[in-house]
Amino acid sequence: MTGLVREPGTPGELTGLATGAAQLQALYDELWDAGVDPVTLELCRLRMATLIGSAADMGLREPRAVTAGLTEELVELLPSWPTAAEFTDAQRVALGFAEQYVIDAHGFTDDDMAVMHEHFTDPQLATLTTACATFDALARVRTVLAAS
Amino acid sequence: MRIEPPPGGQSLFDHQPELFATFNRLYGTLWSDGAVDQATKESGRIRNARLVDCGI
Repeated sequence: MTGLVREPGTPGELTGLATGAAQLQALYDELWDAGVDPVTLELCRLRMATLIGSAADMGLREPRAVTAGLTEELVELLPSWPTAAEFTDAQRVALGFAEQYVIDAHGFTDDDMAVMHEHFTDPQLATLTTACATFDALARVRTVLAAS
Repeated sequence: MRIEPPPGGQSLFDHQPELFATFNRLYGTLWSDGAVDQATKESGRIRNARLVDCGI
């Protein structure tokens, strides 16, 4: 397909809906400046893309995360995030949330949220939730449209 | 509720009002604009909600 995503957040899928595309882009842009470490957000985005099977998303890197310190070495370690020492506790908690969001939202428990509260403030959790919802939606759209 | 809304708020998203407003502008456009009629969109929304068992 033509006119599809070339970088994270580029809402090329909505080219027939110009206003919506601009608003989706605005939402995506705001996520990265809404109080959560961009590296953590990008790790979540990439992990969700892997689980969903969105090759378009897996091959991209959010520049704001790279600027904030994301390395390819860390990306390579993503499959072993539960045990790899290179991830912070906060990143591990966020990645667990992101995985659960994709796999089974009902499997997320009060105890899981209690742990998240140990690492993130309420505003950060609002951002992280919105980010995961956006990443999940975009990865699924790109997958179903076979975006590359 | 696992994340309490801030004082005066109604949902967790009120912790990030600017982000929530941006989302709501997009959500509103999805409903009020485009080539797909609203009944079809609502059918998709309800079906999706049932599949993920969202009771809201």
